[in-house]
Amino acid sequence: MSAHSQILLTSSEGTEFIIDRDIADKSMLLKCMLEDIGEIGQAVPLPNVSGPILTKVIEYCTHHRDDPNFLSANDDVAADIDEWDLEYCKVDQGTLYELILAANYLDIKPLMDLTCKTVANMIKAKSPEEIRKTFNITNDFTPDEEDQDWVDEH
Amino acid sequence: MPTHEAPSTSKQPVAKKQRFIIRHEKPKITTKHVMSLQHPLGIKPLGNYYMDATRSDFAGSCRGPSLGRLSQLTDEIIMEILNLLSPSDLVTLGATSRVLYGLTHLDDMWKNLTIERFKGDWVWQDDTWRATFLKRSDPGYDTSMILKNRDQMKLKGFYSDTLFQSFYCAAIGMEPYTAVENIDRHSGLSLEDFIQKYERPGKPVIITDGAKHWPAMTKWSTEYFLKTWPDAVLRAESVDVKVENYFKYAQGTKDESPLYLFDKKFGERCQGILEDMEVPVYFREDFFGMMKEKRPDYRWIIIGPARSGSTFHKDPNATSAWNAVITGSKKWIMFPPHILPPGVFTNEDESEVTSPVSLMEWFSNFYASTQFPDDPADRPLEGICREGEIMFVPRGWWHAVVNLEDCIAITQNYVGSQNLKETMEFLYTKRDQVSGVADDRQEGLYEEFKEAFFRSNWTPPEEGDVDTPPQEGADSGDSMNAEEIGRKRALMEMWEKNEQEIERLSKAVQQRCKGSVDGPEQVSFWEMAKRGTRAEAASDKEGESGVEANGGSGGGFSFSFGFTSDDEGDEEEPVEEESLEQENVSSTA
Repeated sequence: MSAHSQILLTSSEGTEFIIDRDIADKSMLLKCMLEDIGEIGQAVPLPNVSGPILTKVIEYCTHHRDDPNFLSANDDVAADIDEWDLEYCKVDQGTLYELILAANYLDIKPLMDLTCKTVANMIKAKSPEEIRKTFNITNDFTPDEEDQDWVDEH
Repeated sequence: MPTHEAPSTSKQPVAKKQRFIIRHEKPKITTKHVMSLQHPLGIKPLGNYYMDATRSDFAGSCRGPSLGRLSQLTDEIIMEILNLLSPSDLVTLGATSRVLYGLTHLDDMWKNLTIERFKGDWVWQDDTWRATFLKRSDPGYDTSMILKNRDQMKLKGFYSDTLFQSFYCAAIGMEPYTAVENIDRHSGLSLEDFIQKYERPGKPVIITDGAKHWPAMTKWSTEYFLKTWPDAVLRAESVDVKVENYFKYAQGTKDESPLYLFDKKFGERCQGILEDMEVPVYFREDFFGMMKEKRPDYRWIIIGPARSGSTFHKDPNATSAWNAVITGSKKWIMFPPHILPPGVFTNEDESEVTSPVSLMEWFSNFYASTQFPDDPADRPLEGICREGEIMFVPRGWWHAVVNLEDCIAITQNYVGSQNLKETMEFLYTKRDQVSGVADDRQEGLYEEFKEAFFRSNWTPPEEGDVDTPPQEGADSGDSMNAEEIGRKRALMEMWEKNEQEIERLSKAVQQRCKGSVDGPEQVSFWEMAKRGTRAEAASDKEGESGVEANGGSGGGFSFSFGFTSDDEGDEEEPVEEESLEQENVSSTA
């Protein structure tokens, strides 16, 4: 395969990233943009994505660059997440949610599916109190509301 | 029949019929009322946040604490995560905080869960999909307390467009969109007038006395259905449901896009129902009937509450259609074949049509733009079809239909002399888009149709018959009288003429794509010229120019006219001269 052409990206702080074209194409947003306007000498600005997050996103896309199943819908909720992806998601919640937002913005469906599934797994099979603890949720029901809620669920 | 009655006035129902929803109030549409539309859980749209912020008792948005770290995510993304959770996790999550209560109670999500897991096997509970699902999963689930406490749950301080939008679209109703009526309406229309003024030119019309005399008009009602066919199971979108259960659902649902009952097998599933209706005289010439029980799907009973309906589409196989309303009323909005409605996207050959929004959302977002197009001729045709009336939908027209109130209707698709050619062309050139038959019959439906067409002695059914009766020995041809034989011959000639033209056009298109010419194609063109189709050939510039401009071996003609396939104006004379010469040549050959 001939050398890939390269794309220049700029994160929100202005940091520049050079990536190969085929990695950029994992993002539907970038793919369509590049197809429409051709390759521009200048960098594509990504004001919504910080440097550290962009680094993480590029890491994911690079690891999966030769993955033949990359774009097929990952709809099997019950399917186990593979080892590498599991490790990849072992980050603090703030970073995880930044990754979700970035995957959403850049339109990288497999990364979106992976990160959302990770959050779903954090909710799975927990009690309301455990869920509140995990996500730092305030129990903001009034006592009346809480009674009804209780009744509703049981 | 009154023509401009407002759809939701509380007129007295005819004694024997009852609507299956009793509306207590008309939807309010003034600005003041729009802004005070109350979401059942007290959720407000985002815009209200800024207004409420000016009030002294403003307590802020509860979203931050209520979602904790999840507040970093948008409501839409949270909904995506919720779609990955099991139902029991959803219930637990709903007990953690106000916002999560609101998000996990979005009924549309529960509708998908119910249909995915239980298909049509559920019993409508408590007017919500959530309760329906939970009760179906666990018969011990107690729904009575919910009913009692529902009104008291108010999520104060929760501002969300995601949740407010679908409530809003459903609550606003159709009234703002029902004023325009520019479709012709006729009673006492003669068959000839119908063909000349509407069917041939392909123009919609509402036949106001079309179903007036049907027994269904006085007989059909919810009660009648439940009494006559108590165990009937009919098709609702992707699942089969018990009709009794469906009526309960339709009566209480607040879905933005209600589940819609659309069944093609109702004739068999409801014994005797076909006697309550008859095909109107305008639509009795139906050549697909020659295929008898092998014909593509063609008739449906349609039942649904207000807001149910169909988003923009063209009817299958280039057929024309008629749609008779028995009870209720429907709003129609239609565009001619060459005008794509706003908000609808399609690929080049229209094999894929996407409309990313629901019907109610479409009206909310796009209807206004259809009313003031640059070219006034691009305005859609709109009208309301009421009880006893029949809408004629010409082939190829884009149309969207919304029930304005509980509605029972019958619709059929057909192929008559006026649209035989278009259907033949569709089956011939768009084989992968053929529908209404099993997948393995799509490729060969044209040939199947042709065979049935030539073999059949079919004549239009007598008054009162709905089905084309398949008669024993009727295909032999022995029992036809002279008039019938003459008619049959005319039909066969019509088919052959259409077929030649379709083949010619189709090959010409292929040629232009390939950029070459074959001997045989030219022969068939000349052959057609011999048979006197010169006039048609001359007027069809597309077909010819592809053949001629490429030169060829057509018997010693010098193509000295020098026109290319892009020339339009010059071609008529030269073509005719060539044809004439060729005729002379071949007659001496």
